[in-house]
Amino acid sequence: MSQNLKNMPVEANDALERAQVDASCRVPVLLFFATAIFWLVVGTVFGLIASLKLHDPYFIIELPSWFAFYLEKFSPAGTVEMINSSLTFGRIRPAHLNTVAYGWGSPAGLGVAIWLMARLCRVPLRYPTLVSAAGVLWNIGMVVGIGALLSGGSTSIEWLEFPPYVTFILFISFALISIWAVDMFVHRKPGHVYVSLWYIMAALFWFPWLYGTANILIQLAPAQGSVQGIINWWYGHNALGLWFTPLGLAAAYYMIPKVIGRPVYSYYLSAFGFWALALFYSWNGGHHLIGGPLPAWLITTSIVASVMMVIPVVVTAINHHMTMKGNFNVLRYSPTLRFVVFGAMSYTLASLQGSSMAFRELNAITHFTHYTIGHSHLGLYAFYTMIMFGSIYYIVPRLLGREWVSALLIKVHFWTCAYGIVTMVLLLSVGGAIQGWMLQHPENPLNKFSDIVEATKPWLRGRSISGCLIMVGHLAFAYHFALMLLKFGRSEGGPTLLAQPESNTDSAGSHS
Amino acid sequence: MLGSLIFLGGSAVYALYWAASHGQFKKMDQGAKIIFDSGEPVGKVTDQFPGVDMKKKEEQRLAKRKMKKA
Amino acid sequence: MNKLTTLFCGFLFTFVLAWLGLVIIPHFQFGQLQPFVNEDTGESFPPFRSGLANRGKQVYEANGCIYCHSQQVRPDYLSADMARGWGARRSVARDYIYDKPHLLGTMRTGPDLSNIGVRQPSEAWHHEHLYAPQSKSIGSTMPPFRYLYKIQKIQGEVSPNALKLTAEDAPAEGYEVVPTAEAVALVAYLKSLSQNYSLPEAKLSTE
Repeated sequence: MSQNLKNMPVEANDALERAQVDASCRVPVLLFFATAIFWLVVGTVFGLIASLKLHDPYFIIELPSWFAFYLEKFSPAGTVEMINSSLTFGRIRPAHLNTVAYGWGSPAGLGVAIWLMARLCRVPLRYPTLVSAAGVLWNIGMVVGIGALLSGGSTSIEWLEFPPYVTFILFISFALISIWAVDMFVHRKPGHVYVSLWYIMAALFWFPWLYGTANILIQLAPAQGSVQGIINWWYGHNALGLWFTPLGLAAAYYMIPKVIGRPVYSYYLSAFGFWALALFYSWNGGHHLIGGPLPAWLITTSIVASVMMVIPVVVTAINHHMTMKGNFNVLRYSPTLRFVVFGAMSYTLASLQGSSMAFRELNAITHFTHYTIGHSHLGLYAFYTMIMFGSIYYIVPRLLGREWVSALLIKVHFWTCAYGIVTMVLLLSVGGAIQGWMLQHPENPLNKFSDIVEATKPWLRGRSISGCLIMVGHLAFAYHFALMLLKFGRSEGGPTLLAQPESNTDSAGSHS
Repeated sequence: MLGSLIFLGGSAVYALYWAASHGQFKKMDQGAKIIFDSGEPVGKVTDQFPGVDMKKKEEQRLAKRKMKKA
Repeated sequence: MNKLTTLFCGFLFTFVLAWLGLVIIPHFQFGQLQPFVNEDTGESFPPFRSGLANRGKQVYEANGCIYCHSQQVRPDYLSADMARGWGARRSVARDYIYDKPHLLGTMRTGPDLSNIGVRQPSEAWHHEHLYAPQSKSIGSTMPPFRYLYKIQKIQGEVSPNALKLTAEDAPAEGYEVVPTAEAVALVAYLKSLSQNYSLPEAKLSTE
């Protein structure tokens, strides 16, 4: 141990080490969380607007005429047109995706990853200032990128809409962060390398390859037509499978055992699940292009890999379930556990659904429909985002030394988002299935394209309502987080989980 | 179809065999316990809602259960 | 599992396998396709797009058309795309060799556009549809692209390219709606969208 003060009991020593590690990454991790939560709210607004436009195409299509009239007088020519054009669905929708993926998802994951690495390597983060600077750079990239999207500068490549100069900024920022994360790993305390670390190190290694290759072969030195298609979806699916999924699983594998106080059920299963994921997931990309202008061998390989994914997914599910068994009552008392278990269960569901969607027969119906959107939200929100929420609820008090202010705010957040996402996924799945079925049966005179549009509208309206529910949850979360940063957190009261080493002597006698 | 199945499945099997024969799976279960330390040992719940006395609530809940059974 | 090198090799191996399979091999297998040249007529397929149509493709990209429209016709053993009249054959890799970037799309909130130039050759229809989609397609949820058009005072005679609009879409008395250069380019692009030619690997079903 680095500071083994002989007079302190071992518990106090460990607590001190934990506190030192937490203190070293306080500023960068909180900065990443603040970044993530800010863009989460912005992204949810974009999402809500996009959702409303899908069933109500006249929803805010231009500035009100009286406002435009005055704005025209006091601004450069074309300002009104630029603002009006930024409001179109075709720009708001990618703004939503890029904001939630690169503004919320990635910074949240990076913040959680840095803290997990510091804790699991049991060394402080060196040069936290550089990591914070990287965080600021990331935000600059986001602002410039979203601005570019809204003003018509999108590359029109899904998941890679940011112009090349923005991806360059994000890439540099990412490099700065991962260098110091890997530095912690290299200087780690001797001992076993925990499963979460495998997932994080893998994600940090894979993401730059994915981002770099995709940007080079589609933007800078473009491959030919349909080859871009497969590279696009190799990237898009792997952003989910080799970036977000490992970060989410890393968090789940730490939070679940740590909160309930029981080690992971079968560590062998964790290792097996990890390598199976690494081997199979990266081949899935072609399942986004079934029926597309690509050779059959490519599509078939992706379908086979998508089905093989059942193996690591089921293995992980068994592991989490058996770890939780007998401890489900802790869900009553732990905010983190609620969010993380919800997320872990959603991971199983989303992945099994995904494997089923790869079969050509089902894919013929679901491809190009809202069913796919339901699936992507099940994965990125019900799985990844809920786990990130849970992780942030765990980490922030340990960084600030204060407990969350209000149990009510946490419960509002959980229930609005849980009901919201379940409703959203159900509505989109049913609506999408109807849409797909009608698309596949044009012989029925009631399945003209205009009929299909009418049939999906009620489902899309329902989805907007679920989006409002989720918006409420996010605002509660953002407000609560701001309160914590403004030092409104509780510092005492009841048997607080942040008891200082001295007062730990009460519980010291009760453990084995 | 068969080709990709053989290829992917085969690589998985080979990788497992390689790992097992290179001692990757020794002493695995020790690894699961590394997230605990003396201050946060196995058996201790480390998260709860703010302002809620978990021990007390759990005792109350178990007491209610006992009363129902009686 | 405890050494950085072992882990690193594992990450690298699993990743590179798929990278080779999904990125590199496709690049070499169907990433250097040449257009098909009809020996009798000298025509090359897919046809080149005009400069104006290429400008229009940029307008399509800038306004996110891909988020509602696909541009790929699936084969008839797998889908009803051809039965729906979206194409006389399935799309193949060679149809996209000039597309930088590709616009294959993943959503069909609106119809597939691979052959819209064949289905709907009327420029006037496209302009009116872009300006006020619901006037051409009742119940449509396509957004009205009003900012691609200008409302201007009629100078003397009505402009030849003014849109013919009715009811609530029509401008005030004495005013007309004309397309901007971007709208003209976009419609040229839409009119160019056609896979209505046979290739050795994919013959039109009408032949």
